[in-house]
Amino acid sequence: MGLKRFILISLILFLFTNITYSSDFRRRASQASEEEIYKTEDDIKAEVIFGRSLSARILGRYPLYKDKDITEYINLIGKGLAQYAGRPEIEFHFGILDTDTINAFSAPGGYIFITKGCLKEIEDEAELAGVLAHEIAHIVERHIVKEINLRAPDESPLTGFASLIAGATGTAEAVFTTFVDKAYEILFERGYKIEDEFSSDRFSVNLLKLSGYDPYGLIRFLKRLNEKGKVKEIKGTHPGIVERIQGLKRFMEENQISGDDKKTRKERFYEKTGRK
Amino acid sequence: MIKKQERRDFMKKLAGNSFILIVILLFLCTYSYADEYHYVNSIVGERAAGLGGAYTAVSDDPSGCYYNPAGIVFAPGRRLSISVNAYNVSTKTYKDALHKTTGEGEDWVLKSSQLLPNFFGVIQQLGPGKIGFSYAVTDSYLRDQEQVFYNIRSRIPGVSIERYVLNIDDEDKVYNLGPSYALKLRDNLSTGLTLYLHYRDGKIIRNHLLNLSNGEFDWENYYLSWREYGLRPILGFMWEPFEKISLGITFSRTFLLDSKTRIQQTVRGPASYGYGVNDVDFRVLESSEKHKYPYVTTFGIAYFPSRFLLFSADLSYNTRVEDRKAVLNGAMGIEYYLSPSLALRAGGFTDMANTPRLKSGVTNQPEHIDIYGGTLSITYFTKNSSLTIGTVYSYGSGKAQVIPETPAQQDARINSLTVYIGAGYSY
Repeated sequence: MGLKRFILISLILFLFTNITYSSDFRRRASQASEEEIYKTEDDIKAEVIFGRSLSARILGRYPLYKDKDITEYINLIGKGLAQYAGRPEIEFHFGILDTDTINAFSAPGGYIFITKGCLKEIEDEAELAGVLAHEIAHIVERHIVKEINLRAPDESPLTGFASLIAGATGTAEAVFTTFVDKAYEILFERGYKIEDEFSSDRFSVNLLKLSGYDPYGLIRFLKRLNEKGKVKEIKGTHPGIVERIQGLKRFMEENQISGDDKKTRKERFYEKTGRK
Repeated sequence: MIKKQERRDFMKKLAGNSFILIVILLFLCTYSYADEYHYVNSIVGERAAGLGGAYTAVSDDPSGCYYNPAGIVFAPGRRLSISVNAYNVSTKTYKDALHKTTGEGEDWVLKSSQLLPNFFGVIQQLGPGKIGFSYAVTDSYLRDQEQVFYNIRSRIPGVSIERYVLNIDDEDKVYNLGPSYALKLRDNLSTGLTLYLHYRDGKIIRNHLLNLSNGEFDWENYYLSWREYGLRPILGFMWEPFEKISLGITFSRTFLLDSKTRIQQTVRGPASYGYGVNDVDFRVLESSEKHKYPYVTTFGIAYFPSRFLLFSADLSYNTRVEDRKAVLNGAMGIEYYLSPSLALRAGGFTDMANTPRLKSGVTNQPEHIDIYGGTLSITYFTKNSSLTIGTVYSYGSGKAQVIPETPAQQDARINSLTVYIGAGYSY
């Protein structure tokens, strides 16, 4: 077979083959998987400290809604979901932001906030769980951590993230602040990557299903926002709501996820949030 | 524009005007670009060099910009890589090139040694694909020699060369630098393009002083310099048809946009040839003729049986160009991790001559030396970085014809040893 024919056949095969494999086999022994990269004790410590600083920044923008009962209720739901989320090494904290804006935020290390405005639009506990699960997914999948490449230091003393965490020098503090600024920008301006949002939506559905909630909780909530035309407020930091709804529907169909005999816990939600 | 034939005629004229022809032959036989008789003149890249350059189907780090840009899309995260030839020495020996008056042969040895940063590359995500920028020195030599030969035969009847002082100052480097972009067409198929700026800069300076047995002397000085600019696109594809198997293919060629060559000869010949005390011949030739490069197609296959083991192989085909024949070179490499923080690599490669075998009874033939090489490296990894030390050794033997206008042939040998250091950092 001549070289030209070989090249031609190879190109045709390149273009028309539909067989796909994960390129994970390329990963060498020296290359840790993403999970391995971020799982050391120092990394988790860095993530929590970072999340705390970012949370402080969020609370600087919106004050905390100081209703002990509702906050306890949110924490109960959230921590229940987090049990199935696959990050037992971090403790999750849930809070309500005193603003009518409809949104929810998460900071690395387990800090999650839902706005009072968002709570008002939610109709049952499954919807609330859907929103919280979406935010839990951002933390579990370390979307911010990966995007800003927040990691514990290499063995080399020159990389200095340890000193950065400890705030040992002015330079380290400045770098740390820059990282927090970047994360803040992701939360309030740029938004997460589109694929991260879709991934969190899918994660949320799975988490609702695992914890016994109606897996349609999130999709129902998104649909309602869309119908009410209240998507503008979350548009800036999330991809198109219609695309998210379609993506979720497709995901549920492909995975044959139904909402039969799953709980919405509407009554309890109404009771705990003081609605009639 | 001065054509190649005109340049050759000029060179011949220079030879004809040289009174001690033996000097000219040393000059002419080395009037070549860095190594225009071979195509694998430098194996670059921290990891790729350890694998003998068999990297077309691997290429998942910054050196992929050079070997196969389609591969960089498979690289995890952002990474930069650098490699430096910390120690490089190569010798080319022409056996019995000179003959003493006693009839005994004397070898002529050309040595090159240098410290050279030969690769830098960086890659990171941009949009749906990966962008890269790299710099590679694909060919180079640096010769700085002073040689003295005693009692050498000349071609002037009844006259020998009592002392021949030859000073050599040669340098040639080929730089490639430019951006790359790679994109996944499917999960298991990618394409990438590197667009290198090709820049070559070189010179040959030879100073000859000969004291003849008749009491006269001959002094000749040659200065050649050249500079080229061009573009070298590399189009690559990477395909993973099966789990653990990767195939790569690249197409490339260097297209010259501008080329300048200057040759200068200064001669003060022997008095018996009519030179007065203050007579000096001075000749100059300038040329803008563009050197032609072959089309290169490289095919590679890699097998990744586990996270600790990798086998790779490349075949590279260079088309026939001008008076250079088509060449097929091969390379193979193996990578084995002793532990997650320590990897060994070994490779082998061929670097076949692009010249035909020398025929007997013919004059002015370019040398023909086929080269075979091996590489070995060890890499130490930390979480974000890697440090490599490795060596590349190559050896070749063949025939050369260092004396123009005569059919005599010499055995020729090439030896080259490089110790390189490489480092990579993920950020």
